[in-house]
Amino acid sequence: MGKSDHIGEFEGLALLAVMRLGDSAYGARIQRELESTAGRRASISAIYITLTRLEDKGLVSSRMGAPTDARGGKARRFFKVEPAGVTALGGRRSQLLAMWTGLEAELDAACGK
Amino acid sequence: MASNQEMPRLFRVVVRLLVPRQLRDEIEGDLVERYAEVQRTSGRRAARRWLRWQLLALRPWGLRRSRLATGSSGHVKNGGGVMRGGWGMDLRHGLRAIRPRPGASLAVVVTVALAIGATTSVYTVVDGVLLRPLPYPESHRLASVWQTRNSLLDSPNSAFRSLASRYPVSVPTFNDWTEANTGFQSIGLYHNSSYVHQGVDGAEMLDGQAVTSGYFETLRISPLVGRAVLPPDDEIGAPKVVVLSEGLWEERFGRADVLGTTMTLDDVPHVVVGVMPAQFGALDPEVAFWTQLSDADKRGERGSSYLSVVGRLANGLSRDDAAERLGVVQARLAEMYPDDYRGIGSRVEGLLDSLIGDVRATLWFLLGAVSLVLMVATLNITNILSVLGLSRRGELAVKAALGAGSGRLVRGLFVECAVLASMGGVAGIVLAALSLPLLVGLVPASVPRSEMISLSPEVLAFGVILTGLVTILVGMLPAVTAARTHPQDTMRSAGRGTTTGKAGGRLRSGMVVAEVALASVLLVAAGLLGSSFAKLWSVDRGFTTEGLVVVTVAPDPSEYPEGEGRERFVRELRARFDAIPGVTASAVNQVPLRGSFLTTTYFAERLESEPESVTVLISVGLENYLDLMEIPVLAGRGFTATDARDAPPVGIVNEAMAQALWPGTDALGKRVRSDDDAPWVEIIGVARNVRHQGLMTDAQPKLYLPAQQSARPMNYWVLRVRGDVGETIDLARHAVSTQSPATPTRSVQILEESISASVAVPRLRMFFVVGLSAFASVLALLGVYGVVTFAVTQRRKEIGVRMALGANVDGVVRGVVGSGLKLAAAGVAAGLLIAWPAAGRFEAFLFGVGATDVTIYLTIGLSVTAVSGLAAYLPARRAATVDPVSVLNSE
Repeated sequence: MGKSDHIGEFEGLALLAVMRLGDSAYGARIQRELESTAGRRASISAIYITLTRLEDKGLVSSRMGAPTDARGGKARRFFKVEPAGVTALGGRRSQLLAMWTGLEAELDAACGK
Repeated sequence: MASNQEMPRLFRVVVRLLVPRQLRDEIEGDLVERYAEVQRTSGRRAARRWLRWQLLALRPWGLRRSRLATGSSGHVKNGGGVMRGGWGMDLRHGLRAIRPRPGASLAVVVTVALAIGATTSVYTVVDGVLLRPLPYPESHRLASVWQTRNSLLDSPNSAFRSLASRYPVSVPTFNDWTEANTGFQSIGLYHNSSYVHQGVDGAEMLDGQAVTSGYFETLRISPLVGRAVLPPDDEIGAPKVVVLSEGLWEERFGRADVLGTTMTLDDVPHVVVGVMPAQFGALDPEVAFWTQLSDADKRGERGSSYLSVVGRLANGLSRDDAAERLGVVQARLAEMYPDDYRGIGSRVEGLLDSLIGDVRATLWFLLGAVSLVLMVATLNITNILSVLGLSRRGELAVKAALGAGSGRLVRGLFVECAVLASMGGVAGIVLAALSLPLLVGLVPASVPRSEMISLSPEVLAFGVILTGLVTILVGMLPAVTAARTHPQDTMRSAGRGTTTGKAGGRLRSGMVVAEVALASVLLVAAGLLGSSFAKLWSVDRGFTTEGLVVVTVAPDPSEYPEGEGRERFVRELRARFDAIPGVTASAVNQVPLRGSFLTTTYFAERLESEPESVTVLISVGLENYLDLMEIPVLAGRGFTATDARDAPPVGIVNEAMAQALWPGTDALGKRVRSDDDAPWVEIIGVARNVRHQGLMTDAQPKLYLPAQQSARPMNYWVLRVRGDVGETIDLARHAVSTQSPATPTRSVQILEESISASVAVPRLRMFFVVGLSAFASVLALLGVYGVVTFAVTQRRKEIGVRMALGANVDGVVRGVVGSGLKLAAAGVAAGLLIAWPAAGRFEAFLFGVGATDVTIYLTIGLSVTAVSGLAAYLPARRAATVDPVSVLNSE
């Protein structure tokens, strides 16, 4: 895996959130998803900085939706994970799994499972 | 459902300020949506807290960094850094760009700093002296009121000529003006004078002003302590009062209570009635006090015009209105007193204008000159930066190919140039601030209001605006030329040395032509002023000025009454002066080169016709006066002790008087007299001409009379000093105070110093313009050098090929030098064409040299062209040493 494909921890979480939300992945939903599923509080600003950086790397793409009254007439920006993003996530997952291997019993014991 | 209104307005404003436009809608929408949600689930207060955190966590720079936010397209992974970022990033790039070429960057910063520093400095003087209003309430309504007397314009005496448009006023005239409706709310008289003050430490001279109460009413400043001169003080016989300046009050009385104490001025006790604040003395900071006119002044005759008038215009009335009304009064007076008012008019001038006088023209001239230098510097830097920009076309082409828009490239380059220019500008302003004390020291004492020169907010604003303008000018052109880059063309020709596009080249050549033209204009000015000053300084004064000290002493009249008393004073003081080692002394009634209004009409005896008249200066001196001054007697003899009171009256004429009365014949033995009742004076000698009214004015007819045969007081002592002048001055003062403690030494001047001070303004003009023209010339030559060097670099390949094909070295050199000479010649021609008509406007600054002196124009033209040729020769030599093989191999 080249350096350019490397994704950081928060980048990984954001990509996963976008994937989980499918067609309805936009800022507010992504923030809520990170909070409810991963228990991670992130500012809207941090989410946009991360996702636009990932977009520059070609890992996600985005498009604007229609303006809605519920948001004070403001439109949503929908994000979608590109194949390169899926590959990067896959790489990240294999990396983590490889590192986990052999440590499960020890960690389970430590966490009291 | 949540609506936008529910998110507090302040938060929305913050979002709009901090979030880049391209991401603003979606981020604001997300915040609105989530805010409503948090409010629903956790309450309003929690929602506010949540929102505050969201806003504090906004990272504008982070948001701006993405390609989405900068609006650029393309799909370059990790390579896009150079094209991204806003002004902040451009600024960082600009600063970073200085590092690889410190020499060129330093040159730009120093040039801008010097040019802006010099311009700001001159503006500081203009602001302080010309533009700052006088410190009186509604000072724009204040005016000086004069009489005019056109007949004086033809006077041979320059001091009289200058009075033609500013002729003083007599008390009766002033009273008539006051009574008539002349459009002034108030009007006052004033008259500067030196007073003998008898203090506890002996006699001293103090400068004061005799005024009417209208003077205080007009200037409208309240006394610090006590009262001003009031209308009852104007009455004849009113008790004498004096109002002190704050300076005198502090210096002599330590701000103690002085009201009611007495000051003896010119032997008359004056009661101190008030103290005026320092600003009141703005018209003349030397004035130490104000008192009313003397009773003799108040009884003055109609023809006795020596007083100045200041008035405050009534509300809504212009100076022209007042002048018109005064004209009516003057016409009426001319009908009533035709003898006193023949050819006399009136004039209303702004008070500030009359205070500034002739200095105005000089200051605007200097500001104009320094602006030309600023223009040359701006052109020069624009040229340097545009060449530097072009040399980076390769880099720009790569950036363009990587997706940077042309607007983005222009901005980047602009910021780079602007960073340098603004650094220079700031350095210039600092330079101007630091050099201010030096500058104030350079301003001649004859320039009024020099105490006002300071770094005011207006001056700082001027410096900042100037820096802004230069920054924009300097940044714009290089950025636009360099960014007009076609990536493919440039990349294709990379490494081969590209030609730069005809338009850009022409523009740069045009700038060099303009630089040379402006520098030539300044050089012509410097040439004219320099040659004028050299002539002025080396003008034949007619006597030896070295080692001459002039001591002004008027004996106390009660101790030394007119006649025998004065003669005794002169005899005794002369003995005291002569006793000082290395000193020879003589007394005289007026000193050459210091100017004088005192002239007398004399009539020459004619055998066949009526006596012929001539206006002459009278010089009454001790018998050793001519010897001491080293004024040669060309024919006849000088005075001796035998030319005593009871001996036949004798006189010595100067060449001008001899020429005026007896052209072509011998003046010796001829006779003149001042009126029918006066005895004839026989001419016993002809003395060499001496400049009397200053260096600029030719000698006038002058008649020397021996002291014993004239009643005129001789208040000037000339001491010829061999040795230490400073020590002599102390001894001379001591001699006077020992001779008579009640007689103050009015002034002591080293004649050379006062001559030097009298030409301080022309000297300043000359040195200043010579310095500026030198700076501008260096810049212009660097411009020629730079353009030719750049052209040669661009044509390296072509030159290489030509040499390979057998072109000879001389031909190449000639071609390159020729191109430089062409630019220089065009610049010189344009410069001389501008200078020729422009110089005519400054003819008043010139002495002994015409504004269109062909020799100076030709010399400047030829020298500039020749030196420019030399500047072009250096790169030409280098071009000729091009090795064709290596050039062609590098392809």
